[in-house]
Amino acid sequence: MKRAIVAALAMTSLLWGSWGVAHGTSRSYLTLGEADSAHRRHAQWEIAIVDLAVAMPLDLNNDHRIVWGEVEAQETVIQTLARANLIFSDSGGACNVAIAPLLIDWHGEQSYVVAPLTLACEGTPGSLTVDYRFLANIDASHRMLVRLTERGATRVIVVTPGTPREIGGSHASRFGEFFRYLAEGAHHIWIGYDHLAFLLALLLPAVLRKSARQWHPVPRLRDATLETLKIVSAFTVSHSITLGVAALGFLRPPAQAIEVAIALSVASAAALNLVPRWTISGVWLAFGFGFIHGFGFANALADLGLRRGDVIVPLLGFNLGVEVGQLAVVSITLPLLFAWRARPAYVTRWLPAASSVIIVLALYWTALRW
Amino acid sequence: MDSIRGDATSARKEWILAALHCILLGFEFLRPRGWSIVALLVGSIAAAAPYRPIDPTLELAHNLPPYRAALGSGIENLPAALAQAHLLIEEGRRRADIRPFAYADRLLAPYADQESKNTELALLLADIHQYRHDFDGAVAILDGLIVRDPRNSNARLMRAQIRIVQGKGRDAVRDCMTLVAREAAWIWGACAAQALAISGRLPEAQRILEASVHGDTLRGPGGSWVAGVVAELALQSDDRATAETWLQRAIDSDPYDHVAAVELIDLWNDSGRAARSIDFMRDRPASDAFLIRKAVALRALGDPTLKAVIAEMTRRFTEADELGDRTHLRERAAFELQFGEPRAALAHAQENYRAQRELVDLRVLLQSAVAAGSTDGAREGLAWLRESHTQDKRLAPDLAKLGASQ
Repeated sequence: MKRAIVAALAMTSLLWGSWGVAHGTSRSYLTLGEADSAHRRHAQWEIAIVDLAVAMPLDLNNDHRIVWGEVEAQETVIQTLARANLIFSDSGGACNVAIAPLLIDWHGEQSYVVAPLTLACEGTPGSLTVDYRFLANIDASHRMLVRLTERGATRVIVVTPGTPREIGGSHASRFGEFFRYLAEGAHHIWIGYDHLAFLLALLLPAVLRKSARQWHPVPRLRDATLETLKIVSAFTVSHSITLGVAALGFLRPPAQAIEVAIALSVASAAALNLVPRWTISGVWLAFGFGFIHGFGFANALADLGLRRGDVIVPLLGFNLGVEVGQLAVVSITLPLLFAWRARPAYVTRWLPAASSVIIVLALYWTALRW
Repeated sequence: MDSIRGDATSARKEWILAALHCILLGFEFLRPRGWSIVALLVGSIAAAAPYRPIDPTLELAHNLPPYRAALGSGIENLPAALAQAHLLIEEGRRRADIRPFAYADRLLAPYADQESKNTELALLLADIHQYRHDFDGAVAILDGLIVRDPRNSNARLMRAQIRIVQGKGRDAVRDCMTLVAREAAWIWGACAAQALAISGRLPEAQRILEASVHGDTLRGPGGSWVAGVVAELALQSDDRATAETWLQRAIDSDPYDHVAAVELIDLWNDSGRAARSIDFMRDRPASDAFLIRKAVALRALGDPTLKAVIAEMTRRFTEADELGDRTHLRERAAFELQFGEPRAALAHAQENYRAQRELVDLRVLLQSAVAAGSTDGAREGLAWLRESHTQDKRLAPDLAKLGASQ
């Protein structure tokens, strides 16, 4: 009898039911955006590392710790697990789920694996259903909290593993979609360093003028601004033409060729800065090479998932985003270049040095992309 | 002088240009690493965003619970499932983690039909229910077990404990007294003292406890429970020094007695020893009960990290609403009483009081009613107090404000 009561004491001595000393139940999070005009949705699934470690081997060296290297080593397994446990469908049947490389996030002291998802569904957006199965055979109290964005507002849905749940969903409004692509366009300029290098190559001499085959600083900021405006406008006109032509499906040159041509255009623009006696205007350079860059923008836009249907809104948003990105770069660069232009070293050292670096980089990109 | 300044200016400009070049070269370095690096850069700017780490040794979890091993293969019969369920529950208690209780529940699910035949299974299931705040579910299992086996000390002791949580002191006393003939004095003594203390018989409870508890009882299993009971009775008499000593003994006896830890922190926070509380909480779980006490201590210390703790608590309670989770309402009401709306605190304290009726629940209810200026809000608590004749000196100030007495 003594032995029995010891077992009971081990339980009752710590009868904590009434106290909130324990952590909450296990849960994961799914953030789900609106479908775009190509019926794609961006989503992300967040699952606590400790929960993942229960469902699959993660502590590979059994040291009771989990480090990023172990998650990275099991990345494919985690992605497979996510695909098997998060099954989306709608009126058009099963959705295709693409999973990007995994990320890490922290909620308080707890770390989470974040799986960025792209859902491609064929049916109507309002009929989206999720069949969530993670931990279904291990933890009956586990839940997934879905945060669903619909027409700008967020709705929360609790999903129980093993019970398929219709969660609805909606298309993004035209307005919302436009701004999303606008942001993507600006983002593309920010990370598209070849376009940045091209702009810089054209802007470096925009604060100078040629006379007697020599560079001289322009006297007024107005002159420099006017020249820059002409360059940017010319670039915009030409790249908008090819971006539109490619996005609407009239002409789609091979991506690799375009990438190589873009890199060469950067090298050429920078090389022309080194020979002031050549009298090609930066405006014409921008206009000419802009056609090539437009095809590059079209490829970036295509990567965002434009497959069919209405491309006008994304196209306009993306193009305007590119312009916003360009203007941001110009508004930072131009005042700096203008302030430095009168230094004798600007023409003798900085312009050639910066142009040379751009040439070297551009030739390296050319080789990489060949 | 001018030329020196001119040189310095041009040197600075050269530096800026060199930096621009470095950025361009940096982009080239980042290129093959693609999005992850961009995500990392953005992540480092806005720390809240998910990112892809570069360092493979970055620690994401330490002191990992051995749950996966406990859920391993070979659990194909009831004895094996019971053994693993015990391990999981024990681990869950130590870590103050509810999840292994759910795993244990799942392990035992295939044998649910054997609950009426297997005492150990019934006890484990009852324990899982009470840990989830499902007190009625736990009592239902124990009722069945006691009908089949009235002399089962484990079931009697556990049911008495749950009755105490439910404010049913007299029912608990009956269960405790059945242990008199069969168990050691300190076991039934501590059980009975707990039950009598909430049945209007505090002096009697103290006498029983003094007679049955001695040094040896603290060393074995259950030592922290007995020490906790002594402390609780001391608190009812507002004898804080004695309570502190015994709470400390409870933790010495079982470092994982998180309830004793919470009560000790309350004593320190109430007596201007917030820094000690913070220090003590460093290795404790970041659960609601601890986090709210951390907030109280941080506020007393004027610590700027208080804001983050309040934000985290608010996030948790919002999420609990989304999940329909009503288990930590005592903590929620206490949090709102300190940092939120008194009306919301009262509503949650009332809802909590319908589920659990320990003295600490009553205190939160009375305090919320005082803060919200609503005597009627504490009606259920006041009725219980009249009915049970319970004495607790800590309640006196709030009762006076509500125009009631014990």
